[in-house]
Amino acid sequence: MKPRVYLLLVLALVPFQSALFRHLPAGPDLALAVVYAIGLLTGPAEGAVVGMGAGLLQDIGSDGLLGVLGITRGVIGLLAGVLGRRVIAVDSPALSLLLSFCGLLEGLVCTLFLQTSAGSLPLGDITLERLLPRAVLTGLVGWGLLAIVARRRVRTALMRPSLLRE
Amino acid sequence: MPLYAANKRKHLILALLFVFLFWLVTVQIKNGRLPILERPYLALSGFVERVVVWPFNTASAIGRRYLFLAGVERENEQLRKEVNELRIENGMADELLRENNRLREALQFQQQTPGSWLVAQIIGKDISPLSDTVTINRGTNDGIRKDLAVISPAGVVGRVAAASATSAKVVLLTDPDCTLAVMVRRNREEGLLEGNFVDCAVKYVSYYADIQQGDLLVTSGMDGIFPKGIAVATVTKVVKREASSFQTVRAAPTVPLSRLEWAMVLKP
Repeated sequence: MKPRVYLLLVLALVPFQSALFRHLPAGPDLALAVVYAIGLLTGPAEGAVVGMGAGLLQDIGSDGLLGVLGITRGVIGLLAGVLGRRVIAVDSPALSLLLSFCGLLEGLVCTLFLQTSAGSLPLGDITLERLLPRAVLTGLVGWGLLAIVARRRVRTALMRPSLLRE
Repeated sequence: MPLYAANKRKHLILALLFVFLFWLVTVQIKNGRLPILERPYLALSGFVERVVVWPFNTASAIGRRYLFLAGVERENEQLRKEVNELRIENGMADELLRENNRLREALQFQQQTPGSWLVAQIIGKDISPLSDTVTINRGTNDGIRKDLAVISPAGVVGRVAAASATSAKVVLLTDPDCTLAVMVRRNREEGLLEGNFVDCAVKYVSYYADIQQGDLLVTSGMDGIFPKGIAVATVTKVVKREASSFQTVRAAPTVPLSRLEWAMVLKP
Protein backbone atom coordinates (compact mmCIF):
# COMPACT_ATOMS: atom_id res chain seq x y z
CA MET A 1 0.00 0.00 0.00
CA LYS A 2 1.22 3.48 -0.75
CA PRO A 3 -0.49 5.49 1.97
CA ARG A 4 0.80 8.86 0.79
CA VAL A 5 -0.50 8.32 -2.76
CA TYR A 6 -3.90 7.28 -1.42
CA LEU A 7 -4.07 10.14 1.08
CA LEU A 8 -3.30 12.74 -1.59
CA LEU A 9 -5.69 11.08 -4.04
CA VAL A 10 -8.57 11.05 -1.59
CA LEU A 11 -7.84 14.56 -0.23
CA ALA A 12 -7.85 16.04 -3.73
CA LEU A 13 -10.58 13.89 -5.22
CA VAL A 14 -13.51 14.73 -2.93
CA PRO A 15 -13.37 18.53 -3.47
CA PHE A 16 -12.39 18.00 -7.13
CA GLN A 17 -15.52 16.01 -7.90
CA SER A 18 -17.72 18.44 -5.97
CA ALA A 19 -16.39 21.35 -8.08
CA LEU A 20 -16.47 19.48 -11.37
CA PHE A 21 -20.02 18.15 -11.07
CA ARG A 22 -21.50 21.13 -9.25
CA HIS A 23 -24.14 21.75 -11.92
CA LEU A 24 -25.30 18.15 -12.26
CA PRO A 25 -28.39 17.13 -10.26
CA ALA A 26 -26.79 13.72 -9.59
CA GLY A 27 -23.11 13.61 -10.50
CA PRO A 28 -21.01 10.43 -10.41
CA ASP A 29 -19.22 9.56 -7.19
CA LEU A 30 -15.54 9.47 -8.16
CA ALA A 31 -14.44 8.81 -4.58
CA LEU A 32 -16.53 5.64 -4.43
CA ALA A 33 -15.14 4.47 -7.77
CA VAL A 34 -11.58 5.07 -6.56
CA VAL A 35 -12.19 3.22 -3.27
CA TYR A 36 -13.60 0.30 -5.23
CA ALA A 37 -10.65 0.28 -7.66
CA ILE A 38 -8.08 0.45 -4.86
CA GLY A 39 -9.86 -2.35 -3.01
CA LEU A 40 -9.85 -4.53 -6.14
CA LEU A 41 -6.17 -3.89 -6.77
CA THR A 42 -4.72 -4.11 -3.31
CA GLY A 43 -6.75 -6.15 -0.83
CA PRO A 44 -9.48 -6.08 1.82
CA ALA A 45 -7.53 -4.25 4.54
CA GLU A 46 -6.19 -1.55 2.23
CA GLY A 47 -9.56 -1.15 0.52
CA ALA A 48 -11.34 -0.82 3.86
CA VAL A 49 -8.88 1.76 5.22
CA VAL A 50 -9.02 3.91 2.06
CA GLY A 51 -12.82 3.56 2.04
CA MET A 52 -13.09 4.66 5.65
CA GLY A 53 -10.77 7.63 5.02
CA ALA A 54 -12.60 8.77 1.89
CA GLY A 55 -16.00 8.28 3.50
CA LEU A 56 -15.02 10.17 6.63
CA LEU A 57 -13.72 13.02 4.50
CA GLN A 58 -17.00 13.17 2.61
CA ASP A 59 -18.85 13.10 5.92
CA ILE A 60 -16.85 16.10 7.12
CA GLY A 61 -17.60 17.95 3.87
CA SER A 62 -21.31 17.15 3.96
CA ASP A 63 -23.90 18.00 6.57
CA GLY A 64 -24.67 14.42 7.61
CA LEU A 65 -23.50 12.52 10.67
CA LEU A 66 -19.74 11.86 10.76
CA GLY A 67 -18.83 8.24 10.19
CA VAL A 68 -21.85 6.96 8.24
CA LEU A 69 -20.13 7.13 4.86
CA GLY A 70 -16.92 6.07 6.59
CA ILE A 71 -18.61 2.80 7.55
CA THR A 72 -20.39 2.19 4.22
CA ARG A 73 -17.31 3.00 2.12
CA GLY A 74 -15.12 0.96 4.46
CA VAL A 75 -17.39 -2.03 3.87
CA ILE A 76 -17.39 -1.44 0.09
CA GLY A 77 -13.57 -1.20 0.08
CA LEU A 78 -13.37 -4.38 2.15
CA LEU A 79 -15.71 -6.30 -0.16
CA ALA A 80 -13.89 -5.01 -3.24
CA GLY A 81 -10.64 -6.25 -1.70
CA VAL A 82 -12.10 -9.71 -1.08
CA LEU A 83 -13.45 -9.73 -4.63
CA GLY A 84 -10.11 -8.55 -6.05
CA ARG A 85 -8.43 -11.75 -4.84
CA ARG A 86 -10.75 -13.76 -7.10
CA VAL A 87 -10.77 -11.58 -10.20
CA ILE A 88 -8.45 -11.88 -13.19
CA ALA A 89 -9.53 -8.94 -15.38
CA VAL A 90 -10.24 -5.80 -13.33
CA ASP A 91 -11.60 -3.93 -16.38
CA SER A 92 -14.48 -6.35 -16.85
CA PRO A 93 -17.89 -4.60 -17.33
CA ALA A 94 -19.38 -6.93 -14.71
CA LEU A 95 -17.24 -5.24 -12.06
CA SER A 96 -18.59 -1.82 -13.11
CA LEU A 97 -22.12 -3.17 -12.79
CA LEU A 98 -21.27 -4.34 -9.32
CA LEU A 99 -19.91 -0.87 -8.52
CA SER A 100 -23.24 0.65 -9.64
CA PHE A 101 -25.05 -1.81 -7.42
CA CYS A 102 -22.79 -0.93 -4.46
CA GLY A 103 -23.48 2.78 -5.04
CA LEU A 104 -27.23 2.20 -5.16
CA LEU A 105 -27.21 -0.01 -2.09
CA GLU A 106 -25.11 2.51 -0.17
CA GLY A 107 -27.55 5.29 -1.09
CA LEU A 108 -30.51 3.20 0.05
CA VAL A 109 -28.84 2.30 3.34
CA CYS A 110 -28.01 5.97 3.98
CA THR A 111 -31.57 7.07 3.15
CA LEU A 112 -33.06 4.43 5.43
CA PHE A 113 -30.65 5.49 8.15
CA LEU A 114 -31.67 9.14 7.68
CA GLN A 115 -35.31 8.20 8.10
CA THR A 116 -34.62 7.44 11.73
CA SER A 117 -33.86 11.11 12.38
CA ALA A 118 -35.50 13.04 9.51
CA GLY A 119 -38.78 11.14 9.50
CA SER A 120 -40.44 9.67 6.45
CA LEU A 121 -38.63 10.32 3.15
CA PRO A 122 -39.98 9.51 -0.34
CA LEU A 123 -37.73 6.50 -0.91
CA GLY A 124 -39.11 5.71 -4.40
CA ASP A 125 -38.62 9.26 -5.70
CA ILE A 126 -35.18 9.54 -4.11
CA THR A 127 -34.12 6.25 -5.71
CA LEU A 128 -35.40 7.16 -9.17
CA GLU A 129 -34.33 10.81 -9.30
CA ARG A 130 -31.15 10.77 -7.26
CA LEU A 131 -29.66 7.42 -6.32
CA LEU A 132 -30.17 5.47 -9.56
CA PRO A 133 -28.75 8.11 -11.98
CA ARG A 134 -25.79 8.62 -9.63
CA ALA A 135 -25.17 4.86 -9.36
CA VAL A 136 -25.31 4.43 -13.15
CA LEU A 137 -22.91 7.35 -13.72
CA THR A 138 -20.58 6.06 -11.00
CA GLY A 139 -20.56 2.65 -12.69
CA LEU A 140 -19.67 4.22 -16.04
CA VAL A 141 -16.91 6.36 -14.52
CA GLY A 142 -15.73 3.29 -12.62
CA TRP A 143 -15.53 1.32 -15.87
CA GLY A 144 -13.23 3.98 -17.35
CA LEU A 145 -11.20 4.16 -14.18
CA LEU A 146 -10.74 0.39 -13.98
CA ALA A 147 -9.66 0.33 -17.65
CA ILE A 148 -6.94 2.88 -16.80
CA VAL A 149 -5.99 1.09 -13.60
CA ALA A 150 -5.69 -2.22 -15.46
CA ARG A 151 -2.64 -0.83 -17.28
CA ARG A 152 0.58 -2.05 -15.76
CA ARG A 153 2.20 1.38 -15.26
CA VAL A 154 -0.72 2.76 -13.29
CA ARG A 155 -0.89 -0.42 -11.30
CA THR A 156 2.81 -0.05 -10.40
CA ALA A 157 2.23 3.51 -9.22
CA LEU A 158 -0.66 2.47 -6.99
CA MET A 159 0.49 -0.85 -5.56
CA ARG A 160 3.34 -1.62 -3.23
CA PRO A 161 6.07 -3.91 -4.63
CA SER A 162 5.19 -6.94 -2.46
CA LEU A 163 1.63 -6.96 -3.80
CA LEU A 164 2.86 -6.65 -7.37
CA ARG A 165 5.12 -9.69 -6.93
CA GLU A 166 2.11 -11.66 -5.65
CA MET B 1 3.75 -17.69 11.86
CA PRO B 2 4.93 -14.02 11.66
CA LEU B 3 2.70 -13.53 8.58
CA TYR B 4 -0.25 -14.92 10.55
CA ALA B 5 0.52 -12.54 13.45
CA ALA B 6 0.78 -9.56 11.10
CA ASN B 7 -2.52 -10.44 9.46
CA LYS B 8 -4.16 -10.87 12.85
CA ARG B 9 -2.91 -7.43 13.93
CA LYS B 10 -4.14 -5.91 10.68
CA HIS B 11 -7.60 -7.41 11.14
CA LEU B 12 -7.73 -6.25 14.74
CA ILE B 13 -6.86 -2.67 13.77
CA LEU B 14 -9.50 -2.78 11.03
CA ALA B 15 -12.13 -4.08 13.43
CA LEU B 16 -11.21 -1.35 15.94
CA LEU B 17 -11.54 1.31 13.23
CA PHE B 18 -15.04 0.06 12.37
CA VAL B 19 -15.98 -0.01 16.07
CA PHE B 20 -14.70 3.57 16.42
CA LEU B 21 -16.84 4.72 13.47
CA PHE B 22 -19.92 3.00 14.90
CA TRP B 23 -19.26 4.67 18.25
CA LEU B 24 -18.86 8.06 16.51
CA VAL B 25 -22.22 7.68 14.76
CA THR B 26 -23.95 6.55 17.99
CA VAL B 27 -22.61 9.55 19.91
CA GLN B 28 -23.95 11.90 17.23
CA ILE B 29 -27.38 10.29 17.15
CA LYS B 30 -27.68 11.32 20.79
CA ASN B 31 -25.96 14.72 20.69
CA GLY B 32 -26.13 15.91 17.07
CA ARG B 33 -23.39 16.27 14.47
CA LEU B 34 -19.90 16.90 15.81
CA PRO B 35 -18.13 19.80 14.06
CA ILE B 36 -14.78 17.93 13.91
CA LEU B 37 -12.25 19.29 11.38
CA GLU B 38 -15.07 21.14 9.60
CA ARG B 39 -13.25 24.45 9.15
CA PRO B 40 -9.86 23.08 8.03
CA TYR B 41 -11.60 20.77 5.58
CA LEU B 42 -13.76 23.60 4.28
CA ALA B 43 -10.65 25.75 3.76
CA LEU B 44 -8.87 22.92 1.91
CA SER B 45 -11.86 21.93 -0.21
CA GLY B 46 -12.61 25.59 -0.93
CA PHE B 47 -9.06 25.99 -2.25
CA VAL B 48 -9.25 22.90 -4.47
CA GLU B 49 -12.71 23.90 -5.72
CA ARG B 50 -11.49 27.39 -6.59
CA VAL B 51 -8.59 25.87 -8.55
CA VAL B 52 -11.01 23.60 -10.45
CA VAL B 53 -13.56 26.35 -11.06
CA TRP B 54 -10.94 28.95 -12.08
CA PRO B 55 -10.36 27.70 -15.68
CA PHE B 56 -14.13 27.59 -16.29
CA ASN B 57 -14.54 31.12 -14.92
CA THR B 58 -11.58 32.42 -16.91
CA ALA B 59 -12.73 30.80 -20.14
CA SER B 60 -16.24 32.13 -19.65
CA ALA B 61 -14.90 35.61 -18.79
CA ILE B 62 -12.67 35.65 -21.89
CA GLY B 63 -15.60 34.54 -24.01
CA ARG B 64 -17.81 37.24 -22.63
CA ARG B 65 -15.29 40.09 -22.44
CA TYR B 66 -13.28 39.70 -25.62
CA LEU B 67 -15.35 37.73 -28.07
CA PHE B 68 -18.36 39.95 -27.52
CA LEU B 69 -18.52 43.68 -27.04
CA ALA B 70 -16.73 44.42 -23.82
CA GLY B 71 -18.60 47.59 -22.86
CA VAL B 72 -22.06 46.25 -23.59
CA GLU B 73 -21.35 43.05 -21.71
CA ARG B 74 -20.18 44.96 -18.64
CA GLU B 75 -23.22 47.21 -18.76
CA ASN B 76 -25.46 44.20 -19.21
CA GLU B 77 -23.89 42.56 -16.19
CA GLN B 78 -24.45 45.68 -14.10
CA LEU B 79 -28.06 45.94 -15.27
CA ARG B 80 -28.70 42.27 -14.61
CA LYS B 81 -27.40 42.70 -11.07
CA GLU B 82 -29.64 45.73 -10.57
CA VAL B 83 -32.66 43.87 -11.97
CA ASN B 84 -32.03 41.00 -9.58
CA GLU B 85 -31.77 43.37 -6.64
CA LEU B 86 -34.88 45.26 -7.70
CA ARG B 87 -36.78 42.01 -8.17
CA ILE B 88 -36.07 41.02 -4.60
CA GLU B 89 -36.92 44.49 -3.31
CA ASN B 90 -40.11 44.49 -5.37
CA GLY B 91 -41.13 41.09 -4.01
CA MET B 92 -40.52 42.24 -0.47
CA ALA B 93 -42.30 45.57 -1.05
CA ASP B 94 -45.29 43.74 -2.50
CA GLU B 95 -45.37 41.46 0.48
CA LEU B 96 -45.09 44.39 2.88
CA LEU B 97 -47.92 46.16 1.09
CA ARG B 98 -50.20 43.14 1.39
CA GLU B 99 -49.30 42.79 5.01
CA ASN B 100 -49.76 46.48 5.65
CA ASN B 101 -53.24 46.40 4.17
CA ARG B 102 -54.19 43.37 6.21
CA LEU B 103 -52.76 44.55 9.49
CA ARG B 104 -53.23 48.31 9.21
CA GLU B 105 -55.04 48.49 12.49
CA ALA B 106 -52.71 46.24 14.40
CA LEU B 107 -50.51 47.88 16.97
CA GLN B 108 -46.78 47.32 17.44
CA PHE B 109 -46.29 46.23 13.85
CA GLN B 110 -42.65 45.66 13.31
CA GLN B 111 -41.52 46.72 9.88
CA GLN B 112 -39.13 44.29 8.25
CA THR B 113 -36.16 45.95 6.63
CA PRO B 114 -33.79 43.74 4.69
CA GLY B 115 -30.12 44.10 5.59
CA SER B 116 -27.29 44.10 3.10
CA TRP B 117 -26.49 41.13 0.92
CA LEU B 118 -23.38 39.66 -0.54
CA VAL B 119 -23.18 37.94 -3.93
CA ALA B 120 -21.36 34.58 -3.82
CA GLN B 121 -20.45 32.03 -6.46
CA ILE B 122 -21.29 28.35 -6.06
CA ILE B 123 -17.92 26.62 -6.36
CA GLY B 124 -18.79 23.10 -5.26
CA LYS B 125 -21.64 20.68 -4.67
CA ASP B 126 -21.43 17.86 -2.18
CA ILE B 127 -21.82 14.43 -3.75
CA SER B 128 -23.09 12.49 -0.79
CA PRO B 129 -26.24 10.41 -0.35
CA LEU B 130 -26.62 11.88 3.13
CA SER B 131 -26.95 15.60 2.47
CA ASP B 132 -27.54 18.35 -0.07
CA THR B 133 -24.98 21.10 0.39
CA VAL B 134 -23.02 23.50 -1.78
CA THR B 135 -19.84 25.49 -1.17
CA ILE B 136 -19.71 29.24 -1.84
CA ASN B 137 -16.64 31.39 -2.38
CA ARG B 138 -17.30 33.69 0.58
CA GLY B 139 -16.32 33.08 4.19
CA THR B 140 -15.80 34.69 7.57
CA ASN B 141 -13.46 37.25 5.96
CA ASP B 142 -16.54 38.64 4.17
CA GLY B 143 -18.70 38.55 7.30
CA ILE B 144 -20.33 35.19 6.59
CA ARG B 145 -21.27 33.15 9.65
CA LYS B 146 -23.42 30.17 10.54
CA ASP B 147 -27.21 30.38 10.05
CA LEU B 148 -27.26 33.30 7.62
CA ALA B 149 -29.97 33.15 4.96
CA VAL B 150 -28.93 32.41 1.37
CA ILE B 151 -31.33 33.49 -1.38
CA SER B 152 -31.44 34.12 -5.12
CA PRO B 153 -33.74 36.39 -7.16
CA ALA B 154 -36.11 33.43 -7.59
CA GLY B 155 -36.37 32.67 -3.86
CA VAL B 156 -34.77 30.86 -0.93
CA VAL B 157 -31.66 28.73 -1.57
CA GLY B 158 -30.77 27.57 1.95
CA ARG B 159 -28.79 28.61 5.00
CA VAL B 160 -25.10 28.75 5.91
CA ALA B 161 -24.10 25.64 7.89
CA ALA B 162 -20.41 26.37 8.45
CA ALA B 163 -17.87 28.94 7.33
CA SER B 164 -14.11 29.06 7.00
CA ALA B 165 -12.11 32.21 6.22
CA THR B 166 -12.66 32.09 2.46
CA SER B 167 -15.52 29.68 1.83
CA ALA B 168 -18.74 28.51 3.41
CA LYS B 169 -21.00 25.48 3.31
CA VAL B 170 -24.65 26.11 2.49
CA VAL B 171 -27.35 23.57 3.33
CA LEU B 172 -29.82 23.61 0.45
CA LEU B 173 -33.57 23.81 0.82
CA THR B 174 -33.91 20.18 -0.26
CA ASP B 175 -31.72 18.86 2.58
CA PRO B 176 -33.69 17.24 5.45
CA ASP B 177 -31.63 19.38 7.84
CA CYS B 178 -32.97 22.60 6.32
CA THR B 179 -36.21 23.54 8.03
CA LEU B 180 -37.95 26.88 7.70
CA ALA B 181 -41.23 28.47 8.68
CA VAL B 182 -43.43 29.21 5.66
CA MET B 183 -46.92 30.46 4.90
CA VAL B 184 -49.21 30.35 1.91
CA ARG B 185 -49.04 33.72 0.21
CA ARG B 186 -52.73 33.61 -0.74
CA ASN B 187 -54.24 33.11 2.72
CA ARG B 188 -51.38 33.10 5.30
CA GLU B 189 -51.85 29.46 6.33
CA GLU B 190 -48.65 28.48 8.12
CA GLY B 191 -46.49 25.37 8.10
CA LEU B 192 -42.97 24.07 8.50
CA LEU B 193 -41.06 23.31 5.31
CA GLU B 194 -38.49 20.52 5.34
CA GLY B 195 -36.35 19.14 2.53
CA ASN B 196 -36.53 15.50 1.45
CA PHE B 197 -33.70 15.39 -1.18
CA VAL B 198 -36.14 15.41 -4.12
CA ASP B 199 -38.26 18.44 -3.22
CA CYS B 200 -39.79 19.66 0.05
CA ALA B 201 -42.54 18.59 2.42
CA VAL B 202 -44.68 21.02 4.40
CA LYS B 203 -45.35 19.67 7.86
CA TYR B 204 -47.95 20.48 10.48
CA VAL B 205 -50.54 21.83 8.04
CA SER B 206 -53.92 21.35 9.69
CA TYR B 207 -56.42 19.01 8.01
CA TYR B 208 -58.84 21.92 7.67
CA ALA B 209 -56.29 24.42 6.28
CA ASP B 210 -57.06 25.75 2.80
CA ILE B 211 -54.00 24.82 0.77
CA GLN B 212 -54.13 24.00 -2.93
CA GLN B 213 -51.86 22.80 -5.69
CA GLY B 214 -50.07 25.79 -7.26
CA ASP B 215 -50.08 27.90 -4.10
CA LEU B 216 -46.90 29.90 -3.56
CA LEU B 217 -45.21 29.42 -0.20
CA VAL B 218 -43.25 32.35 1.20
CA THR B 219 -41.12 32.69 4.32
CA SER B 220 -43.11 33.68 7.40
CA GLY B 221 -40.12 35.10 9.26
CA MET B 222 -40.91 32.96 12.32
CA ASP B 223 -37.63 31.03 12.20
CA GLY B 224 -35.50 34.11 12.82
CA ILE B 225 -33.21 33.34 9.87
CA PHE B 226 -35.17 34.34 6.77
CA PRO B 227 -36.93 37.69 6.44
CA LYS B 228 -40.64 37.55 5.79
CA GLY B 229 -42.08 37.33 2.29
CA ILE B 230 -39.36 35.62 0.23
CA ALA B 231 -40.64 33.01 -2.23
CA VAL B 232 -39.72 29.45 -1.17
CA ALA B 233 -41.66 26.80 -3.07
CA THR B 234 -44.79 26.05 -5.07
CA VAL B 235 -47.24 23.43 -3.79
CA THR B 236 -47.26 20.41 -6.11
CA LYS B 237 -49.31 17.85 -4.20
CA VAL B 238 -51.84 17.91 -1.37
CA VAL B 239 -53.11 14.72 0.23
CA LYS B 240 -55.77 14.60 2.96
CA ARG B 241 -56.21 11.44 5.00
CA GLU B 242 -59.10 10.90 7.37
CA ALA B 243 -56.86 9.16 9.89
CA SER B 244 -54.48 12.12 10.25
CA SER B 245 -55.10 15.58 11.65
CA PHE B 246 -52.51 17.00 9.26
CA GLN B 247 -52.38 17.19 5.47
CA THR B 248 -49.47 15.79 3.47
CA VAL B 249 -48.14 18.62 1.34
CA ARG B 250 -45.29 18.42 -1.18
CA ALA B 251 -43.74 21.53 -2.73
CA ALA B 252 -41.09 22.22 -5.39
CA PRO B 253 -38.50 24.93 -4.67
CA THR B 254 -38.89 28.07 -6.80
CA VAL B 255 -35.12 28.17 -7.29
CA PRO B 256 -33.59 25.65 -9.73
CA LEU B 257 -31.08 24.45 -7.13
CA SER B 258 -29.09 22.11 -9.39
CA ARG B 259 -28.41 24.84 -11.97
CA LEU B 260 -27.59 27.56 -9.48
CA GLU B 261 -24.38 29.48 -10.18
CA TRP B 262 -24.70 32.51 -7.94
CA ALA B 263 -26.52 33.21 -4.70
CA MET B 264 -26.88 36.06 -2.26
CA VAL B 265 -26.12 35.81 1.44
CA LEU B 266 -28.31 38.07 3.56
CA LYS B 267 -26.33 39.84 6.24
CA PRO B 268 -28.25 41.24 9.22
